[in-house]
Amino acid sequence: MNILVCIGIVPDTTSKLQIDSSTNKIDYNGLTMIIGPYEEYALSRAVEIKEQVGANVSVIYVGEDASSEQVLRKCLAIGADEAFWIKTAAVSSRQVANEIYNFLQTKKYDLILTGKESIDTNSGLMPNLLALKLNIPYFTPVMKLELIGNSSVQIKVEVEEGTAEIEVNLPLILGCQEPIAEWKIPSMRGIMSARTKPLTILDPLGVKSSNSISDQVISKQRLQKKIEMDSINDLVNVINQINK
Amino acid sequence: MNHQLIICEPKNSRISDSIINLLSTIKADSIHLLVICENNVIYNIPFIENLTISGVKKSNNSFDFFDFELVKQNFTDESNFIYFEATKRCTQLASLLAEIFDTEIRMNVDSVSNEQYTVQIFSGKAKTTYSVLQDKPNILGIVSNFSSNFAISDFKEVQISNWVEIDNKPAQVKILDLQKSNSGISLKDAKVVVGAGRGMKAPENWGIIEDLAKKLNAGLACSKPVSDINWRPHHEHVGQTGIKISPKLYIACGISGAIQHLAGVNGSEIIVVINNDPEAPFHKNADYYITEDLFKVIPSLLNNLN
Ligand SMILES: Cc1cc2nc3c(=O)[nH]c(=O)nc-3n(C[C@H](O)[C@H](O)[C@H](O)COP(=O)(O)OP(=O)(O)OC[C@H]3O[C@@H](n4cnc5c(N)ncnc54)[C@H](O)[C@@H]3O)c2cc1C
Repeated sequence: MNILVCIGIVPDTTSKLQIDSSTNKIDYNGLTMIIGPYEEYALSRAVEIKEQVGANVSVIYVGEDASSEQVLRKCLAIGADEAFWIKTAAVSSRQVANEIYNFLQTKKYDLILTGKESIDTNSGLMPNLLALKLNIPYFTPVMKLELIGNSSVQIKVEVEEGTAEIEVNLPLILGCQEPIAEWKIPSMRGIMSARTKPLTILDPLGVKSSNSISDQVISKQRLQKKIEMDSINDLVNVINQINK
Repeated sequence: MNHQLIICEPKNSRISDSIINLLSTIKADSIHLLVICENNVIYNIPFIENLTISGVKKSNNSFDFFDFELVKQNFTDESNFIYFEATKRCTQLASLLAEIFDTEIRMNVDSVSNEQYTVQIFSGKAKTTYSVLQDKPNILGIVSNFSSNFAISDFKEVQISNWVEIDNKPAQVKILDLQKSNSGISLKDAKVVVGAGRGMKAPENWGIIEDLAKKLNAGLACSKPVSDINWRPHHEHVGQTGIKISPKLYIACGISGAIQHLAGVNGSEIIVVINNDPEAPFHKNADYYITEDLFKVIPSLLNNLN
């Protein structure tokens, strides 16, 4: 069983975003960068499967964040066996999907896991676009994943009507979200062994330029109006006004 | 010539407010509205010049995929813009078109002109402005609360006579169990959302939250720890790692307002916070807050709301 987990590297969820005035883009210098939280769920599930039934787990990252190596080593410390890094600026979901598709021309995986979305762009398009190219099914967001033998999985996935438990054949792509796995804290042994696990840097298909012009940080000013219990009718009026 | 294509998925034969707002914003020589629907009639089509409509039959199995080859045959890349709603089917069709026309596709677009468009990122904490591609279609998924400065008030009923055949490939899926969500109101569409957190103390205390939601015709939300310990179902979890909501009104009860929670609710127009801790960070991010025991405030609200 070969599992590939596609990860993104994003600012820590408590980061305060700021604009670099020389580029008019978000300033990533000084921000703590982490594995995208949904991708970390995906990776954790892959490692659980490896521990339960045995599997080879690879991670792949497309991008050129300054902390790439450190974050990929963390993936290895969590339990991935091998990491691949396609070093190029990631400018769109399609470009990332194209790069991973190209990578998959020489490598075979039974199961490809991604996060349900990356928390910077919140687009969730990558698994969808990659599945199209590979002509295999994809499901997202997936909250439960069990391997059934070597050729199929049982998953719980959100659908329009609610949630469905389904059985589908491999290969496929799953966009993961909690509670698919417990987040794993790397053990000391994991951290030690991560140093010697393979981390391969790959050349991109090509360098893409972005059509992005500028970023802007939105800070919404809230009224911050305090309401006392004995004037709760003020609150009732506010609610009625909005909800009429 | 400026051609624009809009892919949408009406509910109960009505197109969404965000699609109506989009229609009132864009300027084009021709607009084609492609509706993915089960019925032949749409009740609320705005009176707009140069608007044509066709339908795509919606399969009743939501696991089906559109047929790539048929999509290829039925669409040409003459549109400068292809807009779509972020439903699963619309997004899938738009992704196929991005592949076919070898062009970019982006989500969370909240404003657009013929030169540039803006995309919400980091759950609405920031935005990126992109320039419009001139040589290829721009495929843009719009936010669910896309707004407009021009109100449309005249609508007509339209019978769809032109159907595009892009049949659904039956998915090879064995359905073991289908759990319908019990609350009728989906969090993403709700105009009002009532959320509750660890301040509720125990799952059996949720009755007042459900009553309040019922009274306001609101969706139900919860904080992450509450769903982690199974007090509430996971699909109610809002925040950085949960659902992002953008209602007109969000009422947060017994939630501290951690930054990861705010990431999912900051899109709300008005935020009301009920939390008995004067130091709760949520107060700074509230439009109205009341520093009192929620077990007093909510029953009093229930009594006083009509
Ligand atoms: C990577 C990451 C991702 C995360 N993602 C999310 C996410 O998506 N969504 C999310 O919600 N959290 C998320 N969290 C967790 C987040 O940091 C907070 O821990 C969580 O939001 C706190 O939930 P809470 O407000 O219900 O509980 P608490 O922080 O325990 O707050 C309970 C509040 O209830 C108030 N209270 C208690 N009793 C009463 C009463 N009788 N009347 C009125 N008020 C009362 C208290 O004053 C307190 O402020 C994430 C954390 C991490 C690290």
